[in-house]
Amino acid sequence: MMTMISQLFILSSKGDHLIYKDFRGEAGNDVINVFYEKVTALPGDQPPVVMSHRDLHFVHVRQGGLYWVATTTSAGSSPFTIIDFLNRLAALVTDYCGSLSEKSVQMNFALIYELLDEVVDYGYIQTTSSDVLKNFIQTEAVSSRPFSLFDLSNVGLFGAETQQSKVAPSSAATRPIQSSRDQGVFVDVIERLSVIIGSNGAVMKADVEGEIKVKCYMLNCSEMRIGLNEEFSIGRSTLRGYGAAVHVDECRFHQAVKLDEFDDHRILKLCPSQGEQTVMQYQLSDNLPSPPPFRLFPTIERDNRGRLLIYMKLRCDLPPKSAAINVSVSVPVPKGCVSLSQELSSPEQRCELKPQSRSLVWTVPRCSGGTQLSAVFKLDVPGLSSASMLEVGPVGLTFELPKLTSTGLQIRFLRLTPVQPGPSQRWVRYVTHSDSYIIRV
Amino acid sequence: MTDSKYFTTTKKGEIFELKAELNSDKKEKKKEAVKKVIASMTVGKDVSALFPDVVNCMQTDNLELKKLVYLYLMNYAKSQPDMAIMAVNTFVKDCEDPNPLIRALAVRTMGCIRVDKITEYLCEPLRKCLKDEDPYVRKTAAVCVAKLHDINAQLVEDQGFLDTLKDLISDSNPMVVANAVAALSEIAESHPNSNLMDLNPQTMNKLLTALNECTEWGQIFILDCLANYTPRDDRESQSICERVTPRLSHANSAVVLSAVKVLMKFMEMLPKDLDYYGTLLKKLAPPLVTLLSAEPELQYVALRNINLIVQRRPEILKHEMKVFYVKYNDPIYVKLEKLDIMIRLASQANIAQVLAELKEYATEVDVDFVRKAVRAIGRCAIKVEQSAERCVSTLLDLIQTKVNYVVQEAIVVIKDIFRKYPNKYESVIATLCENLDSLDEPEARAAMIWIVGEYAERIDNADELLESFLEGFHDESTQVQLQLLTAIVKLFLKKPTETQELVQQVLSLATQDSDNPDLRDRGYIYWRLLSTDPVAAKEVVLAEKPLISEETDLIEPTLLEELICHIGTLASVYHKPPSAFDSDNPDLRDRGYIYWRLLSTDPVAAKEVVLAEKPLISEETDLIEPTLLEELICHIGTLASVYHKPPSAFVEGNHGVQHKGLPGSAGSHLSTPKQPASNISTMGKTKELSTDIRDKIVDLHKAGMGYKRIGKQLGEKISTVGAVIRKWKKHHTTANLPRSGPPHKILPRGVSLIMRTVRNHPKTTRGELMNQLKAAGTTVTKETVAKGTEHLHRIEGRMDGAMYCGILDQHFLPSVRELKMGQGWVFQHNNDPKHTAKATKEWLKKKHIKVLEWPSQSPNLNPIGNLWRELKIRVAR
Repeated sequence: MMTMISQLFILSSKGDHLIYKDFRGEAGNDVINVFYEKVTALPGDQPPVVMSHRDLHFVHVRQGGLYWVATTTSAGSSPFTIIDFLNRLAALVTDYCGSLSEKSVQMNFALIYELLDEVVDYGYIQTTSSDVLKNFIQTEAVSSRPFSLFDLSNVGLFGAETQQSKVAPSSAATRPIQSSRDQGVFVDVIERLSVIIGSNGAVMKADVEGEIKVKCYMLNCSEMRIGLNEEFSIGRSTLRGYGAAVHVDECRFHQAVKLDEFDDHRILKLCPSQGEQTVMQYQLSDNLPSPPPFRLFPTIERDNRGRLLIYMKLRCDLPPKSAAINVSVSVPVPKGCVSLSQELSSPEQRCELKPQSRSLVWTVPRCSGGTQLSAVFKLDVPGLSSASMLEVGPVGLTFELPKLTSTGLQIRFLRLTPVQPGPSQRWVRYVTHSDSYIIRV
Repeated sequence: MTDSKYFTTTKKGEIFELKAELNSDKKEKKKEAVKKVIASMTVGKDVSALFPDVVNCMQTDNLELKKLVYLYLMNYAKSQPDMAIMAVNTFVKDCEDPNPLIRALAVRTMGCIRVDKITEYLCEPLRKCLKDEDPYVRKTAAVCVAKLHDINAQLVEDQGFLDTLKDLISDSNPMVVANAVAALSEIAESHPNSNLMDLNPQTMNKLLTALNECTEWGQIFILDCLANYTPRDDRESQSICERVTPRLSHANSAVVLSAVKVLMKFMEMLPKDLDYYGTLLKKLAPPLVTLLSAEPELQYVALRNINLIVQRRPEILKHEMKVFYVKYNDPIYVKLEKLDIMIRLASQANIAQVLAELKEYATEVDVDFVRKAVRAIGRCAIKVEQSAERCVSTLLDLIQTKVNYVVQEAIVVIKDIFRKYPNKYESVIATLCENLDSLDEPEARAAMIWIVGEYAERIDNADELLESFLEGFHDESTQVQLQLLTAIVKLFLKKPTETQELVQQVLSLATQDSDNPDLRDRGYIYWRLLSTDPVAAKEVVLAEKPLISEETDLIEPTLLEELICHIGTLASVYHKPPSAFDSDNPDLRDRGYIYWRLLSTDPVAAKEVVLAEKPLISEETDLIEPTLLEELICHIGTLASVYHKPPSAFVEGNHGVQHKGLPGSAGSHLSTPKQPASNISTMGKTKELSTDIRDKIVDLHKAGMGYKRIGKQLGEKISTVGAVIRKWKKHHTTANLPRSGPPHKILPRGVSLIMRTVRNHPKTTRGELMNQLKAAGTTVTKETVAKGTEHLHRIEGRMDGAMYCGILDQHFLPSVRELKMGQGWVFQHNNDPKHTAKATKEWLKKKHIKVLEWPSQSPNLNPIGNLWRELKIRVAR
């Protein structure tokens, strides 16, 4: 009934051994190759999570292009624990080494062995908190790409209209926690939206999964207070008063978060540890405060030359000041479709026929709120029948909504104690990704 | 300086270099050297030769270096036990070090050195460390007890470490408690009867207190341990539940699932009418739903577990159906698992919603998923009786799409629906029969045959339908053969007068020509049944079958119970298979029922039928047929001898297949099977019938004689007679039909693609065409999509070698010039006698023409063969 990790190894995508550690002496290191053979021979439709070889079970995840593998001999081990642990370990290595790649793991192998020694003992997971670990770890990390404040200078701080549009370069958030002469806190609110819109236009399902992530590079920060919208509510029954209440169905917090001020003032208090952590996860289904960001009005018909005509009208229902970027609409097309001609409303839009996935993909780099785009696609399908018209199936959308949360969750304030000098050390970013956005036709 | 340089390749003498560096005076250099050694160790090189040198570096006050040396020791101590003892003194010294980090490091490493000798030195330091003032050392020592127990269990007991470990459960530091619990749990597993982990209310209380304070991983240990406790009464289990419930909102999904496991177990104790029970049920749903927002891998594991939970307590998630709707970007294994859960949650209340969703899935792109979705519709029909009608009409809609695999899957599913609701939906049979020709998968064919057999009395042309299947009996899979046998017997029992021949034919096919013992066995059983007592046969075969059980793939209750206790473990992902008796294999079931009914109706007859002497199996069924063997011997050393097929088989395709010897069973009544030992051994490939005999067969058939009588009169087998007559009916000829030629490299679609492209863009090159075809899924060489045509020549009369030379003279070289082929070309022609005639060979030699050597009997190498076929087809139109 216990979760015991027998061995742990990290392989490059080509199968090179980067790290190998045996905790319990139950199996030899020849199993590494067994694993690599198994994982590369795995067909795409097989669940990749757990594989077994004789008495040994392999559990692995892929992070940073590397295989992170743990083996265990007992069927009582929990794959959840192991997968969670491997993900945590990868995050820990990222925090220590700055980035995750074959090179950074190779450069820091001594550090990683030291980490592993502290993190797992005899197969029992001990701790994955960087706060605790920093007391034990001696080795200095070697960074492949030194971070400097110059990276920040190419961002247009002046002339930006709101606080939110200031964006820190991505390299600012990926660097080793140990070389933190430059300090800063990054709070990301990331939401994933999955929506199904029926062929009659009714919203059949609309779910949001969100999380607040904190990346902290402050040495002398003892407490951080994150204020959420005051009208934030959890569960369906606890709606407070009137007005645009922001509410979610279910919330989970990192165990370092103190919630004594949460009930009254919606303030998360935490003592941030170095590196990245997910402070809060939440989800909301069906009662989204705003309409789904995109609507699609397709018409499918057959012209007199036997071609398939698809008219598409895509309406963006975001507020006028917001915009969606990297919008990509993928429409399944009938089998045997040979060529495509299209009429699009602006030159930066693209459309492409992908025979492998039997779909056409219409990409729009940017789409502002309140606008409407239309397109006509003409498809040559030899032997087009009424049955193949049915193959024009549910349309899938992927997009990104920067500076926007679907639930309306906002960070009211971010306070650090003791008060830090200087204005530009705290960054709050919002983004909503489409997880699965389906419009049936 | 970076560490990656250590991974560069080892050269010879490197070991010596390292040795020198390890013994260097400079600390930095030493450290670098040890790092290099460890890098080599990681990539699998043997650096055990450096053992003494590395151990020498151990006595240092540099913690980083010390850790590296210890890492090395752990790896190689086992192969060098004597050397390892050298290190013991340093270990013992380090265990007394003022720095708690070094104390812990020493005791941890000592435990990992799995050498028997070292254990005696380990005991004293371990005892001290277990009582250390620093919790970090104590927690490490607690794990070390488990390590020591694994090496020498007796020693641990004798030294009283177990009691010390038990005391640690009451430690003030939660991390120490967690490790002590972990170590004790593992030790307890190897002593099943000991009361090492005697959980009493006091320890429970301590554990529950520690639960709130320790790290997430420690919480998992404690929760797993709690799950083993059996509370005294429902009050106690309620209070435990109350204290565990906050864990459900933990960010770590492993903690959540462990908490779910504990709650699921203690819920059993609670009376169902308790308010708290309802509250708890409500609290369990959201965390389970949240698990699905993780990465696909975790989602899959979560779904496998939810699948178990839903089977045990469907009420927890009954309102959360929408969560299991499939997302288009889910990996296929997640989709399938979600589908399974959706069906388990389906009930009368939500069936309309579920069906609408399933119908959407059935039109998606992914074939596997579509198939599963169609199956799911069938399972809904079987599970929720009120929805059956709607399901059937949904399935009919899907059949109308004519998408091949959807149709096949739908027919398989409809068969199950028929089994569950007999005589209710036979109005759809006509629609099913329309799609008979498109069925090419064994399962779908078997299902269709079952339906035809079962409803033979309502289908007017049931005998024709079944006969059409019988034609290619030997090419069918066993599943179809068995089903066909049963269906024809059913048909015979329902319409005895018209189908006697058919049943005779299938019985002899099944019993005498088959190598499959199942098929033969079943054939004999039916045969004897029919010949001994037709009334009993009717009773046995047509008896009402028990209805299909609601969900055949439900996990057995006992297994489920066990798996529920293992929620979150690997076992819950594998879902050990349910027992074999709950078989979904129709063959197994059918045969089971036949025996069952036989035994229950007439034991004496059963004995006679089952124990009757079976024909002896012919000596060696895998011997090559004598005639074929003779032919092959002539071709020793060729490809044919490797494939064990005569070269002619490569050419002729299916037309070369001969009807195998069937015994001509005489008499118009069903005879008992003979002991056909001699018949089985005559499975040689027989000669083709002469055209005379074939004509005679047709004449006799026109005269109104039955197959059997014709067969008897002419001394031919019934199946041969049947084959000749069928061919005559279809093609109105008895002559050999043209052979189909070598298989086509390019499908008709590909051909039309080439034609279209060339027509529209005459300048398309072969390379482009090739790539285009590749994109369409066919890989061919450039030469297959030929560049242009040579001149054609009309041949008058019979051509010989001289004439061929003339043609070559007249057309061949001009063609070459016209096509501007230049120098580097090769001439290719097949081994037709005129091509290999002496005159031709001489001509070719004179003109210095390079000829591609053509292996004998390989028409498939001829690219132009494809074109000729196309031409023939066009002309035939």
